[in-house]
Amino acid sequence: MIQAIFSLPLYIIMPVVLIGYSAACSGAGILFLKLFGAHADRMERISAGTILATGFVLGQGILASIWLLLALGGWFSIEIVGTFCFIVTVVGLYIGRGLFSGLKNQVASIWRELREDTWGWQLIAGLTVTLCLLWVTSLGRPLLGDGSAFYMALGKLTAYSHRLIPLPGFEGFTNVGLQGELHFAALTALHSPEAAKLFSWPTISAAGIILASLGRVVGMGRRGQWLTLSMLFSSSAVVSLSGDGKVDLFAVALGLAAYYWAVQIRFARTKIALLLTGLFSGFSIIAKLSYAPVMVPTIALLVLWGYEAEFKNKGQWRSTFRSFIGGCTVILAGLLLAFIPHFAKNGLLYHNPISPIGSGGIGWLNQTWFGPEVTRWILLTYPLALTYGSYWAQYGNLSPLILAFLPLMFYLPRPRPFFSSPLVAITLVALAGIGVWIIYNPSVFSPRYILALLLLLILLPARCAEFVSLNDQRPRLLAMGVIVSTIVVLIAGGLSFLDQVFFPSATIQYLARTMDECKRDGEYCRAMSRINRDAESGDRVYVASYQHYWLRGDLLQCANNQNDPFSSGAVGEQMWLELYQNGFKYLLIDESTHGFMVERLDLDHVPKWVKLKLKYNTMPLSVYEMNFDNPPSTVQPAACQRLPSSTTWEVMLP
Amino acid sequence: MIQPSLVPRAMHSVWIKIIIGIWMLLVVFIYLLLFGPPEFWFFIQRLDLFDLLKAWRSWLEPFFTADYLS
Repeated sequence: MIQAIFSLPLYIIMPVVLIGYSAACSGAGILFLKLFGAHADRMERISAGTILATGFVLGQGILASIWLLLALGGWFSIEIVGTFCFIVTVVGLYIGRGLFSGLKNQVASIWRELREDTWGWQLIAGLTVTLCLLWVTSLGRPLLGDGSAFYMALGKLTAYSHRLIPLPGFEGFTNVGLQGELHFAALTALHSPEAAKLFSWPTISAAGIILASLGRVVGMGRRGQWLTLSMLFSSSAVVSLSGDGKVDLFAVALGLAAYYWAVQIRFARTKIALLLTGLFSGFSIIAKLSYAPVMVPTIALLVLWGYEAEFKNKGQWRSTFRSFIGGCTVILAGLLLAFIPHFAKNGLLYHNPISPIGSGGIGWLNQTWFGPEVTRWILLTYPLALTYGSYWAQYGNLSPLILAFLPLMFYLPRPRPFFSSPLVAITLVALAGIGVWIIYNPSVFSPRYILALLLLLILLPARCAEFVSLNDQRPRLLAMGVIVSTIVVLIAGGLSFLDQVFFPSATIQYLARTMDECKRDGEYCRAMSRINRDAESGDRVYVASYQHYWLRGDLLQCANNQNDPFSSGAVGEQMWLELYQNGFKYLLIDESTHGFMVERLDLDHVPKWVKLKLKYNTMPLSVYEMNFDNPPSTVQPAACQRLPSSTTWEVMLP
Repeated sequence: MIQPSLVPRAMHSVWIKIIIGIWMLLVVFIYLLLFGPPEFWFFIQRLDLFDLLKAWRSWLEPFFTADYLS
């Protein structure tokens, strides 16, 4: 029966798995909120949409932690993952059913207000929603780069092996926090790698709702919230991450949720708000370790701001301090709760819970991307670089609307008292966080490294533009300028994302199965599919490439890894001998990144006892089948064997 | 009843509005120059401004581009 369900057409099974898994995340989050905050569905002043988005993002963090523990124990099977998802979906959504009628009313109210607004604002809302919906068409986007090299590949490896092991070739990198990777693993285990590719879509939608809710906290009305979403979905730093298998957007949603609940501490200091601040901060740091240096001080500043009014009252200083320490303890408890599975993973796999700190492979934490002159120039032009930069590895920009609407802040009435305004506090905290990042890592310029923090910068210009649109007097040049600029940027952004990020035609073909995975993803997929077709179960493939994703599950587990005893200086015949002794049957060379292997193997002068058969050759990739005829070795070659009654394969060295 | 404006009287100066309006247009225009879709360049071609704007773009790009370790 299960096989019959999974053999349904892709255009049915993919949305079902995506929606079902999103419901499981929401269910898990709502269940947690209900358990720890008795009246989570009736939190005063907080809309149903915000609570549902919080529940969804929280559920992501919780499920990823549970998947991590299951995978560490080797129990990450479809039966366990599927059953768990089903239970939390049913129980969570039943408990939180009241939220859906609230959400229905909220959507009806948004629709009513939009219908009463001018055509310009209706167009802005329509274009924003269209951009958000276009996200689905990134299913047709070729899978390339880091996503297929590590994040999606680790998810596939975990799904097929039912356990978490370092990804071959990335043994020194699997110590990073795993959030998105485990969702990819769960969705792949549920037979839908396509849903895994698109899971960033519900994630960024939830992040958008939380950011718009923060907009409400800083005093925005509907127009401001639409502008907030317009800026979010016209930021290429956000949209570029659509369907590319990277995991940065998980950290964005978790980080924004952390900021939302940290701000709530000032207005509704409940235990659940404090706990959520800690949990979300912890989960976001795990999802993207580069968040740590900015998340810690900015959340601390917002918590201090939350207690500001009481601290000002000198008479109650002692009781306020006691309450502050109590609050901080709850936040730290949440932080620790989020970190425990990560520490357990690194303790078990790397014998160092706080790895990469204290481990050898820390290089990626301490990077230098540019020389002093370029770094100085970037720092001097920071807002312009964020908007117009195309620096190495930058991976997108913030929306130009942020910069365009910034001067409108002079129109906004000065809040009194100044620092009590949430808008002022959030903006200053965001600027302080950017300052910390600049001091910590000045030459690493990439918005995705601190994206949740950068997105907080949207709130000020959006609020100012909304204010001007409501209060501008004749000639209403600025109100008109806000509408025209937003529409132009949304249309231009949408058009430039077409065929770069959004691929509507390829998506339709892919869903209808008239386009296969390799036609979409290109040469790496074709080369590895050739190996998949010819290789027997458990054959060993020597992959001289950063890419692994398209290899079959068993071949992925049996690929070359850091435990293979290769001598560092082996070249020519010695290298071939070691390939034989380590039991390799196939060889994949990616000359664009591992050209040195061609020289090491001296492919023009292969020893007579090595019989090479070229299976695939399209630059830069070559695939060879290796056969060894009377090799000069008496050693029994290593073999990759399937463990009894499991899907786990292990390399057995002689 | 006419609501009193929340915006300070000085900010209603047409000149300030024009300056801020030009800033908005400039920011969006540079965005289009650097990241504009093919449709934008097609439109520019129809206006016979393609070569001029391409030259502006070539002049602007180096200010916001750098390679690894440069």
